[in-house]
Amino acid sequence: MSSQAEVDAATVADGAPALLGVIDRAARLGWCNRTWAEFAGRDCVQLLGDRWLADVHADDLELVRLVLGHTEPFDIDIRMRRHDGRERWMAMRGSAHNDHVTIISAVDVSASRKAQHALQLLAAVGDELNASLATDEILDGVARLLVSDLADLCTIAVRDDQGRLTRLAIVDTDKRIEAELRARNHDVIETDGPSAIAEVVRTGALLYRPIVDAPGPDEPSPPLPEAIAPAATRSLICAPLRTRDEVIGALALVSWSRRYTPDDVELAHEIAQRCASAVENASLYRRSEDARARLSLVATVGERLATTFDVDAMADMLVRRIVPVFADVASVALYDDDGDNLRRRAICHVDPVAEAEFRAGPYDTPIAINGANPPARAARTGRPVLIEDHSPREPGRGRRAADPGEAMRMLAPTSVLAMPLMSRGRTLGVLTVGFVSSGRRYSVADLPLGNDLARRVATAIERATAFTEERRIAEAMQHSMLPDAMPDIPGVGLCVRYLPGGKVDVGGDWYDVVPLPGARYGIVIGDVAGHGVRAATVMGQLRHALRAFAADGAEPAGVVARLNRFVFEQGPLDMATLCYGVLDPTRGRIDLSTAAHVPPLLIRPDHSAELIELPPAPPIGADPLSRYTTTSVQLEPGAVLLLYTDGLVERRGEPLDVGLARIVEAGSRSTAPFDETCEHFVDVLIGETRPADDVAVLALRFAGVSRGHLRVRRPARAAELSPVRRITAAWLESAGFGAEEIGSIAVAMTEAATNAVEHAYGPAEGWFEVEGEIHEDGSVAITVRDAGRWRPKARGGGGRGLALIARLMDEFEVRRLQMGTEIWMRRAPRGKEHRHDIEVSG
Amino acid sequence: MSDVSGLVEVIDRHEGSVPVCEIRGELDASNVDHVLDHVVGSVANEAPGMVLDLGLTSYLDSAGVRILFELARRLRSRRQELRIAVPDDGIVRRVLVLTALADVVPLDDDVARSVRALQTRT
Repeated sequence: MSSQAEVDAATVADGAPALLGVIDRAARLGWCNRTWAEFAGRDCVQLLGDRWLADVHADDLELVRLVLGHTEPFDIDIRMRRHDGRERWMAMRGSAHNDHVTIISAVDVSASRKAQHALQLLAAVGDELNASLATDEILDGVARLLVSDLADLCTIAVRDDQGRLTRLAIVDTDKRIEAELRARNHDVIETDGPSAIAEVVRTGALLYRPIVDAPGPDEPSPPLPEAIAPAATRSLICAPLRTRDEVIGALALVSWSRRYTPDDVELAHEIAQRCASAVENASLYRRSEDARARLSLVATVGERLATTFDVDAMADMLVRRIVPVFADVASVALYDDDGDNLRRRAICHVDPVAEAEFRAGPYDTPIAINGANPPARAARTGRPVLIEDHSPREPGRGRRAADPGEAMRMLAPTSVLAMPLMSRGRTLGVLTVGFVSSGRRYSVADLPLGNDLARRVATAIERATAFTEERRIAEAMQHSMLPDAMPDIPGVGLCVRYLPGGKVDVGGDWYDVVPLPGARYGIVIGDVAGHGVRAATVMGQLRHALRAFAADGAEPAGVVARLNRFVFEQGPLDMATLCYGVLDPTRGRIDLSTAAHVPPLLIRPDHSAELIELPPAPPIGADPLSRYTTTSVQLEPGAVLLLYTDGLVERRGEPLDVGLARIVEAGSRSTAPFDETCEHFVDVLIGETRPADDVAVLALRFAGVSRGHLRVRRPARAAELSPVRRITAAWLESAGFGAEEIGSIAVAMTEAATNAVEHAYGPAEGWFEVEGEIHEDGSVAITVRDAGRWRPKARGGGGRGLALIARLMDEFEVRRLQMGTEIWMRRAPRGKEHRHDIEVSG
Repeated sequence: MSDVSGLVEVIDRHEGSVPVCEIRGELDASNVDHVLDHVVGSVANEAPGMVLDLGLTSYLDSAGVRILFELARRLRSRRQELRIAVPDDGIVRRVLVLTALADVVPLDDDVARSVRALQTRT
């Protein structure tokens, strides 16, 4: 019974689909079923002991010995050679029968394992393809994934933007072979060549050769040496990378170790498909990014060009925008004044060092227009010059350093596009762009963008050149029409300031001072509407006409009305605003008439400031029958009247009232010496930047009526104090001043001069100067100035001296000058109230 | 004593036990330091003080005022009194008043009054 049972068990075991066996702790097979013997293609006896281990894959031996050496149950996958020599994946399970032996079973799981492996591989490939948008990186990643798992050698080639089939990945299990292949094979694969990849890309059909001699993916030139290509047959799959419309490349797998199966073909096909769609996506993305960058390039360049009239600034802005979006290096060269040569006006290179070297080198060398280089050709022919492959290695393009036009070569562009800058049929220069390091190349597809940029820049340059020219003329005209020097008006200080506008172009602002009969003076400030040469011309006419009409000393309203009629007699009509005044310095009175001009500012001696509101009247040139009025303004001694044009107060997008409020505030805060009054207002209201519009400012200060003038300059020595004091006293005495006043003024003057002598200079010799003015009303102004620097209250004596000046005079001011310091002091004519002061002191 | 420029002349005399210094001419930054040295040296320790006679001083400003303050300070440290005789209608008096020297040093209209005041002090 038991024997029967044993036989039955053996029969059952022999009939089982699994390999069954009994193995001891030393991995020796004691018994196996027939299934195992059939699998191995040998008798059971030939497998017993450790002989069965000869069929186990060398890499799995250690694992097998390990699990059999213990009593724990196990379940492992190992590779075993079948009778036909093929390696099979076997799922081997075992459980200890007793302390000495283990009963094992093994099932062939190769098919399912392979399917599962393929899925894993595809998933990994997918991850790799999604990892980046850089085509070469992701394809290299895929190739590395496939090599060893699916292939010994993997090559992937893809068409680039120019349609050339370029090898982007080549990986071999053997790094030596990989390096050899990389070195031997050019990156570009000839599509009409005999290689497998070329054939697949040409035909679009997958190539499957279970056993091949040649050609492989990288054959045939020259054949692989024996060491690299062993005599063993190779297996090859070459699958096309196909998008919806076209074959964009191919994936080649080569194995020396095993023959590819239809399953492998299926897998390779699937991987190739995934690669194709990843490459396409990356390329689409790159193109849309490119397109976006290029669109925004055109937009920003156009925008920026509108903001300047400076040709060099435009050229510089352009090249800096173009790099790196449209070029690795870009330069603008314009015809020089003679039109013989091109001169570079701007350059930009992705590598700042290369740019600096170029600037230090050939940058300033003109490009001869008869040269053979792309910029010269583009300028000469007026047509774009496109050199897709300008690589210096190319034969026939040897270095010709002697030709300065070839200087662009110093920057070693591999592809060049030179665009003529044309405006209204005239070539102004050339925009040259090149690719250097990025490996990009220009093609005809780039011409529209290049043309667009070149056209925009050319128009802007033409506009700027014309503008610069006109502005130069207009500025010259305007300066020639403005008075060179102001007349000296006794008792009246005058200063003017004219700033040409920056943003638009020169305007028609003007000012003038005309001597009139009766020791009076005509003073005008005006603003002609419009800009440029035309406005400057009109301004000149108005200025001369007004001089003529003013000459007989007529009252201001009459002169303005006459000028208005003159404009209509002249036609075509030009409008202008102006303010004209007749100043009588002997009485400190000015009669003013306005034609829609901004109101004059009056600053009183106590620094309070107000606008003089004149009755409104139309600008001249608006209506031949316009009526104008005259308003008299009495100026106190020390008062300042400021005439100006609207450029001083107007700001874009701001009501004029705001600007007018600003000028009143600036007037009330002004502590500048009179000579710097105009600068003060320009500084406060405009600042450092060039004003958009022209600005003219004219300030006059009524000092009072002069009855005498004194001016003495002496070396800054204490011994000079007494002589100057005596001169001053004598001058005052001759003007009829009494001893009391002379004494006070002499002390005040000496105190100021002592400061100059003691504190203004170091050991070096300096000077001091005393200037005196006696006005009609009997007031005396003394100014003591030096060319050094000192501080009030620097010492006790200095402080006491200034305190004394303050008590002896009615007004005094310490003023910092550009070079030096001055003390200005004024003593009002003594009325009874002042005498009262003196009596108190006694 | 007179300075090199001849601007000022200092004349020393005594009215009884009281030393009187008369400053004639102009006193300004060019000569005040000389004048101070001279005047300080002219007062004996046993004197009750001194009178500065500015009756013929034609010019004096803050430089002169500075040495008068200094002179008053030095005399006070020796328990001596400074009195200044100056006419009440001149610029010199105005300067002394305006610089507040008059608050520290008594001003008299004439020398005799100053001398009397100092003699009664002892």
